[in-house]
This record gives sequence, C-alpha cells and structure tokens, in this order.
Amino acid sequence: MSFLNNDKNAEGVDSSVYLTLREERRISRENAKIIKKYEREKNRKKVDEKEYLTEMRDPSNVVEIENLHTYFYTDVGVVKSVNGVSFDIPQGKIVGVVGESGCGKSVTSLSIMQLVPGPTGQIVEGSIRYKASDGKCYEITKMPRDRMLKIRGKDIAMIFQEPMTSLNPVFKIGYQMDEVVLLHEEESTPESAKKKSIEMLKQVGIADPEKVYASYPHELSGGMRQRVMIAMALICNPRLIIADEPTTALDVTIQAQILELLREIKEKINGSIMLITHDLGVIAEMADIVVVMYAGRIIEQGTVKEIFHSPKHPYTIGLMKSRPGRHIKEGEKLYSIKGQVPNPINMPDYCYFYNRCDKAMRVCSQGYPDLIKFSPTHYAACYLYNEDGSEKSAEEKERR
Amino acid sequence: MWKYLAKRLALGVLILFGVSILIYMLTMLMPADYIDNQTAAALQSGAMTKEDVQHLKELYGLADKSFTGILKSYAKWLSNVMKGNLGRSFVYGRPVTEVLSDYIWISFLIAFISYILEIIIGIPMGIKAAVNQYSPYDYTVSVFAMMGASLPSFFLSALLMNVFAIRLGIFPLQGLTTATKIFGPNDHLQIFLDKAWHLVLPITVLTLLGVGGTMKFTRTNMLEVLNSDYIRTARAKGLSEKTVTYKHAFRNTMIPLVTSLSGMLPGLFGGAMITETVFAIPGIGYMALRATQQGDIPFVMGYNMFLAILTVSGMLISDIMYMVVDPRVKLS
Repeated sequence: MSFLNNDKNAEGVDSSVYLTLREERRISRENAKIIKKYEREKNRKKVDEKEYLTEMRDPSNVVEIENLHTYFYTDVGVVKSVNGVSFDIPQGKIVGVVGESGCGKSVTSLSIMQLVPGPTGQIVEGSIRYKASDGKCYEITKMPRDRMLKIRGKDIAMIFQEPMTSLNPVFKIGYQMDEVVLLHEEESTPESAKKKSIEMLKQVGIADPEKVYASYPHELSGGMRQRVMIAMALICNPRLIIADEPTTALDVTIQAQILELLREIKEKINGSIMLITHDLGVIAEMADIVVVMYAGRIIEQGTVKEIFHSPKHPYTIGLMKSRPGRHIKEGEKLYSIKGQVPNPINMPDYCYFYNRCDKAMRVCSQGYPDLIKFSPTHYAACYLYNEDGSEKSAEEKERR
Repeated sequence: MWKYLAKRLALGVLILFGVSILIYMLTMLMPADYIDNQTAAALQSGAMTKEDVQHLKELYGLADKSFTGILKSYAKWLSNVMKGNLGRSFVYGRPVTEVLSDYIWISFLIAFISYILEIIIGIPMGIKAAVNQYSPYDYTVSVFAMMGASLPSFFLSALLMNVFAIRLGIFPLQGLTTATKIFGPNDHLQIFLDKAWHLVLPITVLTLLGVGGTMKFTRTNMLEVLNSDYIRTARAKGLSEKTVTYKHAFRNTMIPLVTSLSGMLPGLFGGAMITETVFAIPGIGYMALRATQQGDIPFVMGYNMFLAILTVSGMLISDIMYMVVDPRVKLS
C-alpha cells in the first residue's frame, strides 16, 4: 500500500479503520490474550529483586532508554505509540524531547513512570534502566507494580501539562503535598510533613505559603497551581523530573518564570529533567540535549547547538524553519510542513516522513533508514547522508 | 448563605402554591367524583333520586364544577390549609393529617431499608465495575443492573410472589400481619418478627429496582473521575492503587452521589404506591391509591401537597449537600 497513490489516504481517511465484524472480533480476542499476559507479569508480588536488577551502560546516566516499544492494543488494531526509542538522560542534564502531538513523547515519559494507561497500553519490548541514589540499577520494564510505587513520586517525579486539572479539587493543597512526604519518608510525622511542604512552597516562589497550604486548588491561579505541582514533584528530592509540557497551558509571562524556576531547582538538587514540549523556544532556552521524535521514533538527536545550528533530518530542518523569528522576512508566510503523520495503526515499513518529505528519494520508500552518526552526540535517521555523516552528492541521490 | 436559603424557601412556597392549584383543578375535573362513585348503585336501583345525589354533592362541596366554582372551593381549601386544617378524608372519615401520620411510617420503613441496601450494595458494585471496566464482572453487574432497573415493579413483585410465596412458601403472600395467628398483648418480639417476615419481599422488590440505578450512577461517575488528570497525578505520586481509588477518586465520585442520594431522602416518606398495593401493605402509597380511585379530594390534595413538599425539600437538601461535599461550591 503506497501512501501517495491511495486516494483515501489523500483525504486523510484510512481504509484500515473499516473493519469487518470478524476482523474486529479477532483483534479484540488477540488483544485480550496479550493484555492478560502483560498484566499478570506486572501484578506479580514478591518478585526476587535479582529479576529486575541490571547494570547501566554509562554510570553517569540516571535513566537509559533502549529500544523501547510501547503499544496500545485498541479495538481497531495495535497503535505503536513508541516504536523503538533509545536515549539517555545523564545526571544533572536537561533532555528536551520535541515532536508534534501524538508522536509518543508523553507515552515515553509515562513508560518511564510505569504509568502507561492500562490495560490497553503495554510496554512490549526494550528496556528502561534507572540508577537509584544507592547505586543500584533497576530495569523498570520488569519491575512489579508494587515495587515501582516506591520510585514514583520519590526518585522520579512528574509535572503535568494541565495545572488546572492535575490537582485533586476536593483536597487542600497542604493535604496533597503532605501525602507525598508521609508516603515516601518513613520517619516523617504530620507536623514535619507540614513544615516541609510549606518550606517547599516557599522555595518555588510562593509568597504566602501558609495561606496556599490551606487553600483548595480552585482558589489559586494557573501559574500558582503549576508552582504547587512543581513543589509537589520536588518535595522528595527526585533524581529525575519529567516535565510534560509544563508551560503549555500557561500564559507567556508565567511561562518564563516557571522555566526559570525549573532550572534553578535543577541546580539546587542536582537532578535531571526530561522536558517534553513542542515549543522549540523552550528547548533552546533550557535543554542540554535534544531528542526529536516523529511518529513514535527518534529521527534526530544531539546537543542543543547541533540541533539548532546544523539540523540534519528534513523534519528537523522543517521544524526550525516553521518557528517564528528573525529569519522570517516581513510579509512572508510562516513555513509549515505539508501533509499528515501516517496512521499509527498501519505504519509503513519505510521512512515515516517519506510522504511529507520534500527531499524524498526512491530509496526512502524501501525500508526504514538507520541512524547515522554525525558526532558522538549527534544522530539522525535519514538516507540523505552517507555512513560517515557526509551528505550524499546530487548524482548519488539521483541514482537512488 | 442564609440569604440563599431564605430565597430558596420563598421560591419553594411559590412552587407549592402553583402545584396546589394544578392538582386541585385536576382532581375536581375528574369525570366521576366521590359522590358519583358512592351513589351509582343506589341510583341505578332507584333507592336514591338525582335530587338526593345533587343534595349530597352540595353537602360535600362538589356541586359546582364551573371554573369560578372550583376557584371558590379552592380558596376555601386554601384558607383551611393556612389554619393547618387539611380537611376530612371522604373515604377514611378521619382528618387527612391523622391518616397521613398513621400510615407514613410503615412506608418510610420499607423505603428506608431498601434505600440503605441500595447504597451498601450499589456503590461498592459500581466502584468495582468501574475499576475493572470491560471485565466479566463489569458486564455481569451491568446486565443485572439494567434488568433490575427496567423491570416493572408489579411484574417483579408478581414474579417474587409466585416463586417465594406460592411455590416455595417461604414468605407470606400479602399483608403486614398473619391473620391466622393470635398474639398476646406482650408478644412484642413475635409481632415484630411477623411483620419483618412480611416485609422481606416488598423490600427486596424495591431494592432490586433501585440498586441498578445506584450502581450505574456510581460506575459512570467513577469512570469519569478515574480518567481525570488528578488521578494520574495521584498515581505519579506513588500512591497505591487502593488509595488512588478509594481516597482520591471516590472522594470526587461522592459529590454527585451524595447530592443525588440525599435529595432522595424526603421522598422515602412518599410511599411506593404500586409495590405497596401489590403486596397489600397498608402504607401511605396504598392508602393514596384507594383514595384517588374514589375521588377523595381532601386526601388526594393532602397527599399530593405532602409529596410536593418532599420534592421541594429534597432539592433543597441536594443543594445544601453540594456545598458540604464540594469545596468549590458556595451557595449565594
């Protein structure tokens, strides 16, 4: 099935959505079987620690993700949300993950937390290695659920996109913060937890922490709530903070403050941040390493300098071109990448960007490209380049 | 808040006034009134003349069925009500208030017990079904809930009576006491047990009818809450699934649950007309049905006004409970 020749695809309708009753039944039967297998694995109790202890490839990393596959077994077929993602989060660094909506950024982060919405969502393959503060390395994909509870919120904390809905509306801020302390710190008492919560609220720049402590979420503004979310994430000194579009729902003036706060706090606790966003400005400002995702795969990754100054993949180049800035002449239209992401249920077996790429060659429709190494930190998956990182000559491109 | 309550109470009075006019008109316009019902046989056999009937109607205040006549008699009824006098029931020959207060309690008892049962069965089932969405448990419970909720009460009653009273003979068929048994004046325990035994089937019927709704309502609300962002936050904090479900999620599900269930409380005094009639239990619903069939205007008015008051106060309680359970709601 070619994407360019199929009229239905041109209209954005995919034939795979129309299923016969028999196909549908077969899918749900198969799904049920697979899901059952994975769920049983996760619900095991009293698992020997040896089963999920592992070694880091590089001890300076907090988290190493390798060949991660997270699939959703839906009624219309398997959605490969994350399809072979590998990257490292080094200690004390900010890793920015960019990509358009639905490209698997959030699912990657939820996989690290073992929070992929089940039972349809399952980590199918690959490994996520996490190095705890005591030097032990855990394989998160093999960890049983109850053991993971001790890492969540304590060692790896998460800040979500929607501060307006991410706090429980019926509990006071104080209660929701104390809960984390009481849960993860064994010697804590309600009084010590309260003290710590108020101290934390002060640290994230809340002027009247006692008052906020005793408030309900609806009594605070969006920016305040996001500060509370950050305070809550930081309260147990996590080693990794996953910030899933932390500024998307906030207005611009607050955005800068929140980002500044995140950076300050990272310095203070010497933790790492995985910053998920589709705002390239935020990435340029904050990140040390950038990972560009497209349709469940990493298509390019490198340091901020490499990605912003010498983007290699046509998609990254397109992204750079499509952001507003000084490179736009007056009256000129903002660049946009034409076309749409392929249907996640029926992924093609060649480059996912093929049908949108203005540099597409014949070879691009004949298998997914391998990662090409440009520098020790810079990789991209594209046929435009030779194995040594040099761009292919025009006639060579022609030939292919 | 007090201002709000005062406003709501004033509005309630206004609603009751409107309701009373409407019901009065409707009952007065019923084709055969109490006197017609009572004298039909005598009129046919010639024992009474039309004049006698007309005379009786005048005595009962039912003679003038013109619009102004109805208004006049309504005004008279209203002024009596203002003095706290709901009139005398035609059928039962006693003051309406007395009849109401005599028969209310058995109805309330039945309704209250099944209400409690509905809550303690329906809510945990709803939660479990929501947590295990699309599991065999969820499907089974949902199907039974829908069956219970969609069965007509008379049919379910007849079914249970057939199986448990007639075929198996475990429970009595009808009534509140066993007529063939003679109790001494001090056999309180026996009398109590005898009555409880009679009430098992009607309570079962009411519970089965209601539990499905409660379960479905809990399940729907729980599912909505379980998919919200703050539940993901709670999980991300490292809380166990039990704490997430029963503390963070259920506390939010409780908002619609408590408000709707507390709003139902006053309605428990209203009686279950059909179930009580099928089981011949002398509750308020049974009495009201008999009175309505015979055109007992004072009783029908009194009963319906009582129901209207229950409904209005149910809504008020609902609103107040909203404020109690949801910190975001301020009544003003």
